Amino acid sequence: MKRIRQILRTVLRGPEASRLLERLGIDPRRYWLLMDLFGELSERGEVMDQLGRNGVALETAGWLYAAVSALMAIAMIVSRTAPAAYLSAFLGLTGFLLLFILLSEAGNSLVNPEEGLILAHQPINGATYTAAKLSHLARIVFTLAPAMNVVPALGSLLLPRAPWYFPLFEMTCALAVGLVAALLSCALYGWLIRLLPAKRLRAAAQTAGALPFLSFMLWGPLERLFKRAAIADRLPTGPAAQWGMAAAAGIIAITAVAFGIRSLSADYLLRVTGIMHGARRKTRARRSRLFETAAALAGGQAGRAGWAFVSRMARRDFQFRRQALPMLIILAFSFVPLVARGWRTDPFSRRFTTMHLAPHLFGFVLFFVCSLLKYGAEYKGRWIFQLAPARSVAGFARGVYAALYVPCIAVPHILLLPALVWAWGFWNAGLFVCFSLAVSSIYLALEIRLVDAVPFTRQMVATGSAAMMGILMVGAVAIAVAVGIQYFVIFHSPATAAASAVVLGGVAWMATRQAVRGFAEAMRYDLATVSGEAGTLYREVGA
Amino acid sequence: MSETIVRFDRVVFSYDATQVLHQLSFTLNRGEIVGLLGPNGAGKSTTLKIIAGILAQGGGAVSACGLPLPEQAVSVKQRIGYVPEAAALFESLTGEEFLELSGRLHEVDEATLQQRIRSILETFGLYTDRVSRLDSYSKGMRQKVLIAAALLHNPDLVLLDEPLSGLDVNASIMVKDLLAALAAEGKTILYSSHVLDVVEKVCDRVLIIHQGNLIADSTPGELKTRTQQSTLEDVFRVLTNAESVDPGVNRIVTALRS
Repeated sequence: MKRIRQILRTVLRGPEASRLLERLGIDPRRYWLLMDLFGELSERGEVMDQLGRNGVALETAGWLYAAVSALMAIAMIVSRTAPAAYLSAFLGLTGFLLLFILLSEAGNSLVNPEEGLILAHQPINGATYTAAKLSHLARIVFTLAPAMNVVPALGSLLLPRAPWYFPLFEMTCALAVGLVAALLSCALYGWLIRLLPAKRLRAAAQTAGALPFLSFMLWGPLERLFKRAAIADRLPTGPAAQWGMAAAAGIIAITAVAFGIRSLSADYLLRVTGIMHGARRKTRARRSRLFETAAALAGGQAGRAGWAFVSRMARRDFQFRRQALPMLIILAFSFVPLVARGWRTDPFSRRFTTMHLAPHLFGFVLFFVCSLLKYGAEYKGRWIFQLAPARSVAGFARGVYAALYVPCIAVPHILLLPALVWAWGFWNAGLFVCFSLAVSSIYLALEIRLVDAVPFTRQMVATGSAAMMGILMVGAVAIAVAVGIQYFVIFHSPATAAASAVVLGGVAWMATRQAVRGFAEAMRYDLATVSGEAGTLYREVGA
Repeated sequence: MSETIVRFDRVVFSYDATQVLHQLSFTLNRGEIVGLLGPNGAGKSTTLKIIAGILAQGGGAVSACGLPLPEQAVSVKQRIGYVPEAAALFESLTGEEFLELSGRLHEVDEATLQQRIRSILETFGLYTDRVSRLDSYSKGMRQKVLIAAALLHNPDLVLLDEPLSGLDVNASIMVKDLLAALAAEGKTILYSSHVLDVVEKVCDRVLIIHQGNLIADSTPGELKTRTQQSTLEDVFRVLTNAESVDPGVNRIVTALRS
């Protein structure tokens, strides 16, 4: 393996590869200097961890996706799926997941240019810098595309009527799909950089991660719209015309990608300061006296600090928003329509209602928020907490808890109640809301344990976006089980539901008390551990 | 007639809707040490960043080392040395690694680079710390590394934004002497600072920017004569209309008492 790596290194850094890079406008000498630098910084844990530069994270993600695709392959082989459908399913999955990951990774590389700021005054052209920044995308493609397809490809030999070369064909197609996804991701950011003012780029990048899912969601409605408008009937039907249209569409797509990538590389380092300055624009100060007072009641001035810190940073921290926004958009687009469809159906009517999903929706949202909460772009500001008196940590923890509980659980339930009372009557609605509140509170009590440090004070890790998709899939199964119990057991009678709500409420109360105490302990431990490291405090104060 | 190294011609620059530089014009000549002064937010760092090819001006023309900016930014960067104010560093690199990176990006040949790194690190008293990571360096040590990185490739133009920040007295004296020696070698130095007595001692000429406009371009001596003040600090106060005792000071003290 070492020998292969050496040969690969010699070839890639050799004169032939250098000539190719030069032809693309990339300075090979500086390109390899930057590649070595980014590799070194990533290895030493300095720069924002990127999936393509973190071998362990990439391998973990690879195993996760291999397991998911293996399960899917077994199901499809058992159901004797046709080879064409089998191939389409796996290529679709590969394209979808890779696009999701690559958009997030490319966005983080390009619109969070911490290294760009340090290197902006160095004589590096835009093409060289962006090529070095985005090379790790190729590693993601060449690891994850095979990981997602190797088991299905081998399994395809068990399919009826699958030719002997099918595995090879599937692997080749999967790599091609991965490369197209990488090019599309780069081109998209190229267009964004070209078309949007620098100050808007970060906000755009935060939502770009949700694009594959939104496209998937909008595919059906758009198809129906095209059918209704009978667009296909208005197009010429001859084979020559159809080939012509296909060729034109292909040329337009290739040109768009080529221009996008070209835009990406041109004068990038000149825009770096603008991109970073955009993140520092003035923010309208929002003060919610009511909520701040509630937090203060829970934890005094420290509680107020916890509330204000978390609620403000959640709105402004680049890393948090970049990771949380796509997931929240995805959740909103998948769950909210389901709940909207079923809110008129009473859960005690013995008919299934999608309202059963509501408490789990809150749990899901809070899971993502809690799993991301300790990470932040300005994690070096952690030193401020080390200077605070240790007794303030408990109050701070209660403030943070309130900052999560009030907007994510209390307010939605309060808003939901009148609508449900109108649709189901006072008792049924009240019972359901109490049950939902208890379940959501248990979720939060369990999930806040994921925050084992002061919020926004840890550097983001590479596994984030890759692991999220896997968790989303596993979580969907767990929710299905819980919803089944609600439908078949709990909401069969008001008495069972009331008893469940009381028991779960008690569990929530105890779990919350312990969780908040545990959260405060975790923060105290984190701060003590951090200050115990030689030189760390100095570095943070000086940073 | 001396050669013009930097030409700023009616340069305009805005951050969002806020115009930072209003038709700013000046030139820098070869071998000059020019002080760039101004109150906070006057546009000094923005001016330096435009010359360094990091920001593109919104209007007007800029050239450095005979090359237009921002079009020839990469070539200009090859010929300038820039010490940014409060610069971030790759803190997990050692001082030596950081300097090697900077020198190699500027295509200094390896033997020359190693010899220069050794020489500069020894002079700055950092040679024994060269293998320590930058995160263990003091503020002054990091500032020395930044100055070293700006000089390694022997630039024609040196842009300094508060270069003495964090340096001890001996290091400050050495840097000041170094600047004079570099200017004698024909290098042009643009020196932005709030420490006016240093500017007065070091600089041949002073540019004062106030609210994005150039309000003075002269030698320190001429400015003192023209404004009938004894120090550059007083000249600065007069030209920028600063009051002798800021009323804000009293406000802060009163607030702390409450």
